[in-house]
Parts: sequence; structure tokens; C-alpha cells
Amino acid sequence: MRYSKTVHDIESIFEANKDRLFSYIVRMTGDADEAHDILQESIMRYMEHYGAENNSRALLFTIARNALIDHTRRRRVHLVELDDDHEDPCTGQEHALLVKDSYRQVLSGLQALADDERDILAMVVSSDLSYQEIAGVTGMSVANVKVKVHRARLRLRNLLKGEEP
Amino acid sequence: MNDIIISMFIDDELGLDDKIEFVEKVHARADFKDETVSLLNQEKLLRTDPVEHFSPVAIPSPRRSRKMLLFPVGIAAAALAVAVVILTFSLVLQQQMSPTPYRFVIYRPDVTQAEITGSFTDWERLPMNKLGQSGYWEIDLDLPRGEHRFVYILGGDERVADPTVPAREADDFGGVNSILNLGDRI
Repeated sequence: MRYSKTVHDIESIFEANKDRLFSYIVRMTGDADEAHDILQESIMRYMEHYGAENNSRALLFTIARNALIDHTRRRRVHLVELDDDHEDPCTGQEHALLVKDSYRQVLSGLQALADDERDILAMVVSSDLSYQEIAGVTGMSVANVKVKVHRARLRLRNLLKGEEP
Repeated sequence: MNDIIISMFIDDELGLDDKIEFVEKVHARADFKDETVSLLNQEKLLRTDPVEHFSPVAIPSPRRSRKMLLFPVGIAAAALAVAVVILTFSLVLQQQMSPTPYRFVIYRPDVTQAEITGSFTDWERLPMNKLGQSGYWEIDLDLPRGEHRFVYILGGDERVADPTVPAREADDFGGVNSILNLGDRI
């Protein structure tokens, strides 16, 4: 049954990658609700344009990354300050998110990185893709991926230590 | 210090020659070792699954993709429900009869009209609400527990299954309906 097989394949692809995709998107946005919406949009784009035959994880991340870029264009990403006294970006809005303090700090730090640094670091830690595959997704050279990943980690550490504004 | 070999180590990107270089640096330079440990500790937190840090209150609607995030909580809730069933069968019956609020959402900025039709509407079309200029359309419905079939109708004639609900089946007219299962029957 070709139809059943297709549905099964799509469901399997979705199940196998949804958590990784969500993790990547929430690290990019710092907002779970936005991440849900962008994930939905990514899945829709994938199903509309590709289907079960094209099931590489790199392709899924390419689609999610493009959806993120479009989303950012439509709506400014809510930047999170590292200051502990700031209003929680999640509880301050209609959707109240309870995020552990230490992890919130990391998410906040990610939001404070430059866009390209946040993108590359979020993808490395979320996707299980190799540097080579990430180079394909982002259009960078592998050498550039190596440099940017490490630079992003160092910047994040400095931000979390309060050594950078 | 900008030793990219540390990140390559963290990301399992080292070849054999790189590994030799890395081990030699760890032994030769205390600052390199400290830098590596520092970034590894940061990585532990960075790689923590974000799902673990969002409580159930972060889930505003019982869409399938969001319910998946609550899987561990769902197991606990299911176990609790079983206990309740054993003790108070009548209460369970009441729960099964009670409707469940469900929010349907679809992203289609290119259409001027979106509707939903399904087994819960006797296949009558219901108009969906446009969420500003976001491109999203939504409708909140109270549905009885059990299995439902539905499809979105966009722009008046384009039938689209819900992209976040993997379960589907072909209808009798060449289209595809989404299959939504609300609640587990005990």
C-alpha cells in the first residue's frame, strides 16, 4: 500500500527529528511558543515540497532554518537581557513559561550572540549533524564552521560570566 | 585563546592526528586543559534538552506536537487516571463524556479564507479566525474524547490535512483527512 507506506514514512521522519528541530528553534528564539509555531511551519513546508522520499536530517534543518529566517523578518526576535532583574520574557506575556534559572541564563546568552554565532552553535548542539553537513546547510565552508562554532562558545562563556556587554 | 580544536573535540570532529595534538596539548598546557573543562561544563548545560525546562503551563493547546513534549507528564497522568478508574468507575465515565478543548491552527499567509470540516461538525464547514497579519488561522472547539477526522479547506476549495498530525487516511473523494485521537479510552 503505497499510501500507507508514505504516511508511515512521514510519521517516522517527523517522530525521529521533531525534538532536535524544536531544540534548535527554541535555542534560536528563546521562546517555546514561537518555536512550536515555526516547527509547525517547517513541517508543513517539508511535506508540501519534499515528502517521505527526501528524508535527510540536513534537509529538515535547512527548511527549519529558512522558516526561522522568514519568521525573523516578519517579526523581530524578542531579545532577552542577561540582567537577572529583567522581566521574564515568557512569564511577562500571555504564555507563562517556567524555565529553570540556569537554563534560562544559557538561553538568554544565546539570544545575546550575533545571529550567525547563535545559528551555528544552536545547530551544532541540537542537530547531531557533522561540521560538513552544517556547512552544507548554512552555505559556509567547513573551516568557517569550525572557527565560528568555537568563537560562539567563547563568546557565550564570556557573556555568561558578565565579561561582555 | 582560540583553540578551535577544543570545539572539534566537543563535537566529535577530531581525526586521529587531531586527537594526538589534542592529548599532547592537554598534557603540556594547564590553561588549555582548564579551557577545555570550562567549555565542556558549559556544553553540558547548553545541550540540555530544552523540553525539560518548559513546564506544562507552557503548552497553551493540546495540539499533537505539543502533547508530545509532555510525554513523561502524560505517563504519570495516565497512571493516575488508571488508579482513579479502579476506585471510581463512574467518575471515569463522566470524564469520557466531557468535551475536551482543542485548538486547531494552520499557517497559510497566502489565503484569504480558511475553514475546517470534520466528523465533529458532521462535515459542515466552520470558518477559522485569522490571527492578525501573522499568516495563522485558528479555531477553538470543544470535542468529545475519541477519534476524529478532519481537514482544512483553504481559499474555498483547497483541502489540506493538518501538517502536525501524522495520522491520516484517504477519503472517498481522492483527498486526505487527518485523524485526531483525543484521550485514551480505558
